[in-house]
Amino acid sequence: MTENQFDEFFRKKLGDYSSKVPEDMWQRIKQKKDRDRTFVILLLLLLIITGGATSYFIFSSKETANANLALSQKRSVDNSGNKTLLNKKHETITTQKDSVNLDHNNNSVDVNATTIKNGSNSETVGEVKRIDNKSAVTSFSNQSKKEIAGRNSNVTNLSQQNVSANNADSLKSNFSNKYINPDGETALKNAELSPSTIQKDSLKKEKNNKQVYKVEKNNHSPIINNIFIEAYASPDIPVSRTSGNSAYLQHKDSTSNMQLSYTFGVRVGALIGEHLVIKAGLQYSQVNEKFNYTKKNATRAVPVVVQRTLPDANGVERTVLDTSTLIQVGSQYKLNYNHYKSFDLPLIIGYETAGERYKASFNTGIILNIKTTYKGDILDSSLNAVDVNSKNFYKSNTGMSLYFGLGLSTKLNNNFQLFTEPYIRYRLSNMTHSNDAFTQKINVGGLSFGLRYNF
Amino acid sequence: MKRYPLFGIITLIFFSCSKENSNEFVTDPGNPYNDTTWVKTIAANSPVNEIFQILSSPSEDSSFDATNGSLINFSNNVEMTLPANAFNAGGKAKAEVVFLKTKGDMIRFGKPTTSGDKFLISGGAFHINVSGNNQSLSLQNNKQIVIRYITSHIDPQMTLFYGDTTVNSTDGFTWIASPDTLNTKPVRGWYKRLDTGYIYGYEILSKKCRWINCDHYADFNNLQRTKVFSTLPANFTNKNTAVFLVFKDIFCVGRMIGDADNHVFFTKDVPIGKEIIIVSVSKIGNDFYLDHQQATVTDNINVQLSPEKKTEQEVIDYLNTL
Repeated sequence: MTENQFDEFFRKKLGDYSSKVPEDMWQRIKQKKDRDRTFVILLLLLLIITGGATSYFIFSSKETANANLALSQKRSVDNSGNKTLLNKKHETITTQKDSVNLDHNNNSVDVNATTIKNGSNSETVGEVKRIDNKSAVTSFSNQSKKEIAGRNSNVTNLSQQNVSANNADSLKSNFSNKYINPDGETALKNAELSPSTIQKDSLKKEKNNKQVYKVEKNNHSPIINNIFIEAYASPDIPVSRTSGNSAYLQHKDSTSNMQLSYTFGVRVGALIGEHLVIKAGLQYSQVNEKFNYTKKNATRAVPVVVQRTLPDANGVERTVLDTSTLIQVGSQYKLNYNHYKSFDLPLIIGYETAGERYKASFNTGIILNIKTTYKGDILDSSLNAVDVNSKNFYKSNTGMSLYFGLGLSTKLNNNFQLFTEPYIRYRLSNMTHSNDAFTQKINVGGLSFGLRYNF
Repeated sequence: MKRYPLFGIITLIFFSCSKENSNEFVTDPGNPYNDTTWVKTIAANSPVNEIFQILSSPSEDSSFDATNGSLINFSNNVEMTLPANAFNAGGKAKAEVVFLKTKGDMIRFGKPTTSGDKFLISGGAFHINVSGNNQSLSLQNNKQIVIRYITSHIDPQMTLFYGDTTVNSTDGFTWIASPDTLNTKPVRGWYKRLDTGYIYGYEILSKKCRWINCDHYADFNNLQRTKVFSTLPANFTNKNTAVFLVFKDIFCVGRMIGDADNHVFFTKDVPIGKEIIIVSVSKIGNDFYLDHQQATVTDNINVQLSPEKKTEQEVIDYLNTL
């Protein structure tokens, strides 16, 4: 029987066949879509609220994928029993030189089904063909097939070993059109397809349709293409902007100088589509300030204990310990490194260019301050150095900042990316209370270095 | 992979940088606040002596003809009779008078009512200076000036004391009983009839100008005596602080002596049981410090003072209340 005869045979037998679609099929599809949409929304919320929860979700998803993989592997057909490997992609495996396409369902398009063409009388596996409705359309190398499998977590790689192991049977049978149904059974085993076999296969139409849907779904581009977590640290250059009483500011500016500061944090993000990136996380920033204060004619109080001998009128002496305060006058030289520490919640959205090894990105967003603490000294209105917390100069929550960054990343391996990002953090509100003698904003420019792990 | 160590080094640099704070205070040895030393002998230019120069009020003066003599009326109902040709020069002259009528005045001028170690009960003191042609004039031997002033009561024991500024004492001053008392009673009661009634006071006959005082020795009814001590913080020394013992019920003020060895002020022979006020006045730099504590004298009582910074006027105002 030639190939054309074989095709003709199927055409005659199955040409007018139409399989029934289960009544609840679309309902189930809709439910599935709804679930997917809810999933995306929940994921976004979780990203914003907490990266940790998102991470947990990601790990859970990964575990599910691994479970699927394990299940798929279990379904490998025992080759010695003349069974073929079950593949969730519903691959049709042929060991014949020319593939024969089974058009057992006129309306279904098995776009993901692959035909593995084995060279005649050869132990090696040939190319993998993609069947498009009635004919093989595209050929893929095994490597390409692996890439497809890699991109789709629900698809199990078809290992070359399994195919090779099949070859013996295929050669022996000399007719290897095998349709593998979802249950892993061999639908067509031998060269001639008996009507009962076809009938049997047709009875599995419902399952086949399900598989078609799954394949279609897997072939759609997902909304979230990549979820990642990144850790970063940045040396920062703070720029202080003050306003208020000019005499006071003159002294304040002469005593205070901004120093190299730093930021570090962790962000969880997702690549939405091909280029859009959203990130949320938690970061710690410390602005350092050098407080160099000199005061002439400064006074300090030193507690002293003075021992005195008091001879009374009769010459009897008694000792009196007198605790008092000794006031000293001199010059005070105070060098202090003030630290303004803040915990922030960055919410970033960005655009990332495509690129296999290098990527550029532009990121912007807001940084919400959670809490800011201050440690150090400051000049009070009398130009004396006082503890910065003694007069409640600064707010404990400094509000919102704007973030602008330009990033460049390089791929280290499949999971890790190294990135750097010069950025500017611009404060929208003053850090000081409105009733203070001065107002102050500290904007920051920095250069982030970080490591990204792609899940 | 070679970038991992670099990343680690950069991270390490960020977090390993820590700088030490410093707070250094360098005392100024030339600043009077830092001079906590006591001295055995107080120099004339010591801050403590500046206190009296600053707090003392200016004298009241009036011109007269020294050849013809004059009766001069000053404020506070003080009148002074200057006999004719009583001074070693005639012609136009100027009489200047300072009247110390309260215990506070005694402190302001640094003239405690003590003669040596003995307390005096005062009826008021004067500083009289007569000058002609910008030169101080002195009374002739057989001449005396008469000072009359009003007091709240008259003590018949009162006599005349002259101020001695040559003695080696804390103040460089003490009151010496006038030898004139041997022959003539130099202080006596005086009254004058006015339309509204009588006024009375003391009439002092003095053969000297300068410091004269109407006093008598206090006997305190043979009360047991003791030492009274006063201690102050280390910044307050006998070079910048004067401490006075003021009796509450009598016009008697003693200046406490600074013990340079023990850094304490003391006064001997204070009658036990008397109500006293210990007053300290200090001058450190340009700042005045004041403190005062009331106490009842007990055996070897130690009154601790903690002077606070005050203005000159605040010090004067307090002293005027004594």
